[in-house]
Amino acid sequence: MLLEIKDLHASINGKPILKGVNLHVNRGEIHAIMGPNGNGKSTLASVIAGKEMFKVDGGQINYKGKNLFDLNVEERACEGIFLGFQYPVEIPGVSITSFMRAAVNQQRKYKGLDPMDTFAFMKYMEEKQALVGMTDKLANRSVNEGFSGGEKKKNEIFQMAMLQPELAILDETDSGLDIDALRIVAGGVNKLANKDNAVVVITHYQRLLDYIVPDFVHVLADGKIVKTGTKELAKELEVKGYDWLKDHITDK
Amino acid sequence: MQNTKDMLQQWAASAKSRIPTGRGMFAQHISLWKELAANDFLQRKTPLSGNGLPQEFRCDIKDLDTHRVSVCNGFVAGQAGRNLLFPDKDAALGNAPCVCRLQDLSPAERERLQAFFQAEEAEPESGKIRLTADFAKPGRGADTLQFVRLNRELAPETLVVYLPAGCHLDKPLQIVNLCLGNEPLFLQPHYLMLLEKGASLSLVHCTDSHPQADILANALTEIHLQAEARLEYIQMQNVGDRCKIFHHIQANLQAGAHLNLHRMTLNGGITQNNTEINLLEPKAHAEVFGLYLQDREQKTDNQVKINHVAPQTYSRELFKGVMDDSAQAYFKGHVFVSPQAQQTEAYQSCRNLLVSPKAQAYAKPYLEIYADDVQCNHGVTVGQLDEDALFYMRCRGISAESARRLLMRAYADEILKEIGVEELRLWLTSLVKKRFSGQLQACQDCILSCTGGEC
Repeated sequence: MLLEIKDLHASINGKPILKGVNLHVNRGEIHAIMGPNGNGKSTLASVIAGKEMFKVDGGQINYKGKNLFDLNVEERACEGIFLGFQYPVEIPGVSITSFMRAAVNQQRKYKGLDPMDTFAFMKYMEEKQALVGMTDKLANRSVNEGFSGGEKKKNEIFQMAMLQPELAILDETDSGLDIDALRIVAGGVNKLANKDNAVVVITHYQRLLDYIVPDFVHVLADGKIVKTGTKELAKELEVKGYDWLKDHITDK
Repeated sequence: MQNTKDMLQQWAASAKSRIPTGRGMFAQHISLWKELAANDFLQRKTPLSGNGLPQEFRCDIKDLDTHRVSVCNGFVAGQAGRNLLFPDKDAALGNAPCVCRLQDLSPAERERLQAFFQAEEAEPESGKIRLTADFAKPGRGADTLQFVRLNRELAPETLVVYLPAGCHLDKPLQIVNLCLGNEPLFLQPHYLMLLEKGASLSLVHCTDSHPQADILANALTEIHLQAEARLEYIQMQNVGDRCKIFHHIQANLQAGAHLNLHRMTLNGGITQNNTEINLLEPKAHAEVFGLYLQDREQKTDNQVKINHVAPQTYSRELFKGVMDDSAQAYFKGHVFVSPQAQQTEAYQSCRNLLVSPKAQAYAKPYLEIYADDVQCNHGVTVGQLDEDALFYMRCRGISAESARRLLMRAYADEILKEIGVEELRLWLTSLVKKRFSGQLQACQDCILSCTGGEC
């Protein structure tokens, strides 16, 4: 098993957000986590990535058989966890090229590999740029600075392609995208997903799942995964809304 | 004639009453008067010669092809009487560019040169009530005048940089200023630069010491740019933590002259960069950039006074600092726009990054405008590294320390990219990179480590 989350509780400033999340992800799977706003979807992603502002109050996360909480943020990344940000951060003065170079080479160092030389790196980068249609002009600009919503999300998928994670968590990668950008981003994810890695997409809408077809759909509500199903569940949710689910749970 | 020792005693005695006494945020924390009044000041030696100084130093700047001149403890290295750009020629202010000692010029030439730098007006006496009319004059600080006088009285030699009309030097000029010595010293490096009409020059001026040197310096650079002359002047300092360097640069610009001044403080115990620019004729154009990277207990003070006294003049100031550990930075900018200086453009900005909880930065922007048709703005900020950006970078596998360094370098880049000569820009960029990664020590990457002498 790649990722195993057991009874995870987490809070921010004393306010509980996650209240007992259980989730199993195997290599080769695509999972979708859906659910209403403010119910812990992004918190779950942040806790997996290691954001310090969230306090883990209980439970376990095992990743590749290791206790994830023993690793700091950068070690988790080097172990193959990738978080695609809902709101990618602007870094004025740092070009995408130098940012990715630092990231790729530090991850290589972690794995005991030599850094890539300039020529090999540029070639590698060119290849991955093509995947999301990123121009050289954009690649030479400061990370996310002045990017449109679509460019920022493309940049996230480009970084995912560069770093080849084993577990990619994409936090609302579809938000703020028009339909063309959505196709490009989803197309990128589909090309990167394979039998050796896993993708977890966090989304509000069924729309993204027309392009990235999940093996499992989970509904996260009030800090717990309240329902798990196949892609049909997403369609049902789209028609009936989350309120239906609330009633459904209460009935149970 | 008074001997040096008597003069120093007089300066030390008068300094005691001149130490700035102000309190609070914008008090003058760094002042040469304090140093002159210090108990151990009179124990400092003033070198009598540049003896023991190699004729030339080899400076290890990769891919950087420059004309190089060295100054050691205020003395100019090189053969007496010669033009140091072309050692087979005599020093002269003729048709050829010339770098030489002031003392090596003929009396008539000396007089001609010095005439450019002597038009001084004393500040109204302090204590006297000043009228608006007094304020509306582009005065200079009374202290600055005193330190200029101190330097001129005591400077053992003066390095002259002269470019005749229309002259463009084929490659940048590099002045290597060394502070050497095993005992505490008080130094007065002095430079005079005259660029005649339409001449242009790129100049890099580095001050270095060995890491343990105990130096107090009152350095003075005086610049005169005639009409349409262009000077790019990169003043860079990388000295040990016991060095206290006060360096005043003053420049007069005639019509359409351009000055790009960079004040780079990479290392030093106490650094005061004083800058005064007089835009005397229409379309004179000055840009002043500053970068100070300080840590440990280092202190830096940048003071910039720009006097717009003619119409259609332009000035821009951009200073940025990164302060770590318990370092302290002060910035005081003062743009003066006289009633005649219509259609002036003046921009002033100072930004500071504090990367440790104990670091401090104080910035005081100031515009004094007596003309009504002008475009001016000012702004200062003091901030911290962006935590979201750090997390984002760490999420990609970049260590926290590397992420911090990357952000700091990016912050400094905004200043570095303004350097026009590419080789100089790349060289300084690499020095800044080393500075942030803790690999840059005073003495490294420059002359001293190559001569194998004192160091």
